[in-house]
Amino acid sequence: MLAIVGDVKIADIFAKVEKYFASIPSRPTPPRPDVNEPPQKSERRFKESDKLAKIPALAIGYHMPPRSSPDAIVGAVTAGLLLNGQASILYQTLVKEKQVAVSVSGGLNWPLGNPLEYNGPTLMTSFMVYPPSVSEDQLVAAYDAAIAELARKGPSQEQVERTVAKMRSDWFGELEIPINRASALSHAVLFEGNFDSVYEIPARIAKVTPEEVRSFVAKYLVPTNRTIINRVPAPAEKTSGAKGEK
Amino acid sequence: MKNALTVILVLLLAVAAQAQKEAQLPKDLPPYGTQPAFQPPEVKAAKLDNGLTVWLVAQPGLPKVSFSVVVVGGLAADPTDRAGLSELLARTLNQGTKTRSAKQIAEEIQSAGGDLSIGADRDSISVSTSVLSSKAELAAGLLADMLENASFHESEVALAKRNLSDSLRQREAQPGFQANRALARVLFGSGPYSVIAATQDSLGRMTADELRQEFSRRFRPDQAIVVAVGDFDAAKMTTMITEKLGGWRAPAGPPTKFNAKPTGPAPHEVTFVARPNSVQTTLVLAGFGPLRSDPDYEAAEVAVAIYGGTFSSRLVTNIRED
Repeated sequence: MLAIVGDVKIADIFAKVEKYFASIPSRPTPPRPDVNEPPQKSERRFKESDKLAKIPALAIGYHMPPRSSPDAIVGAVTAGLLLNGQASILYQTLVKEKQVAVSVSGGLNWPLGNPLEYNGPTLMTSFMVYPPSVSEDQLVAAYDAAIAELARKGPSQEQVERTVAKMRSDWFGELEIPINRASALSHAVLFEGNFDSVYEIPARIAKVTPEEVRSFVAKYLVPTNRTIINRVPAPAEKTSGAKGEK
Repeated sequence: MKNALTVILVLLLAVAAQAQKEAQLPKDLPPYGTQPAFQPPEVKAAKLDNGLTVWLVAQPGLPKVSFSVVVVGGLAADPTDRAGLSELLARTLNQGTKTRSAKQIAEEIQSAGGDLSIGADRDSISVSTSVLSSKAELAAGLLADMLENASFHESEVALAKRNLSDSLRQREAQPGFQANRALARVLFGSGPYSVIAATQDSLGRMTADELRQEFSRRFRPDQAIVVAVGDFDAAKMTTMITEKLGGWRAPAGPPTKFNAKPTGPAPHEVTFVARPNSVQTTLVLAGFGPLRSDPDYEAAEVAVAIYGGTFSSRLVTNIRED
């Protein structure tokens, strides 16, 4: 799949592609390996120590449904609600209200790519840097409370609408950049056989309802489906005179 | 550093480079074509009665508009005993106005399809957002409210100080940050350009009142430019921006002149910063370059690109491949 986006004359470019690419011999496509992962049965938690870190950080990843599932688009909107920008639920709850995190970032298929460009297993990841005065348990408890509330009550219609507006705007922003538009088009063709979905995405995300988000959270954002990694600064080593500028 | 002075700077991550044979190019490649003439987009420039400079670039396309507001005076304009105050100012500018809470601001800009990015550079502070064309007016109204009425509420400033302190700890662990901080001190001594960020010490002393004071000193229409680029009608956008930002008033008195140009040559010096347990070495080479207004400026930019500014530059090729 070759996608060319930019200031080109279509007739010229087809002729050039024919001239320089047509002679490349075709080969049989190798069978797609099975990259599916077995369902996770229980929560996994790890603690790592980092000799160079000065403050701790924690990441939580949940397995996501495959791209072909009707749940995938709901997952994208749910990730937007939880993690997209300063108005997101996790930023507002963890950084502003409970003040247990310094920063929150993440998303669906984060940081590998955007929430709509994957074909194999992927995760919804939340990454939080948090103050040394806050414990891992405090942070995870605050995180879980935010998720539990969303699983119980779901988002408001207004919350979903502004998240969808942000995602629509982000998507147009992606398409404005030629290399990103080429990437979106070629991925869609490879994964789905045509590029219609690239231009249908704004309409598809706009159809997601608060109730769909609520039931997505209740189904996927559960402890048994997640892994938590807590990375903390290693205890200070005794160093003598190795510090500072010389 | 965009206005006053260019520092020619090359940042290298020294990686274990394997010597590689130069790749053979495919046969029968066509010759390089001629570079098509570059047509810069048309800029519609205007100045409002309050002194605000407005630049509009209307380009039909996807239904988006990006706004950028830049005011003169950044890190180099901070009071000497409040190094990095601009950073805290940038973090708190969107944390409430006289009539909107921080949360309302975040939600409103999200409903327009945007986020606010606010950053302090050495010579300026900039506020930008990229929204849906249909919500341009909402975004412009919100920007106007922040530019005129940011409130720097005590509790928001206190939280921002704690979070900036922690994120500073995080950055202070990064080799690039350590190298650039040391570099600025060596190049600029105790001058205004020696500051690239707050310190724990200076941050501890900053107050909400100081932020309000610096805010009114720098955020004035006669020292600001607003640029809008995107899919809009230029005449309508002019009317809308005039309506939203025309009422922004400059305080009495002339604006502060920020001039941080260093004197004398760059020092010839090698500085080491120890970073125990580091698995790589970060190397920064720098010297003073021409001013942006100098005729040599563009030539210096090209020279730096050839020397070490791009992945195919001589320095990178030399270190990685040769």
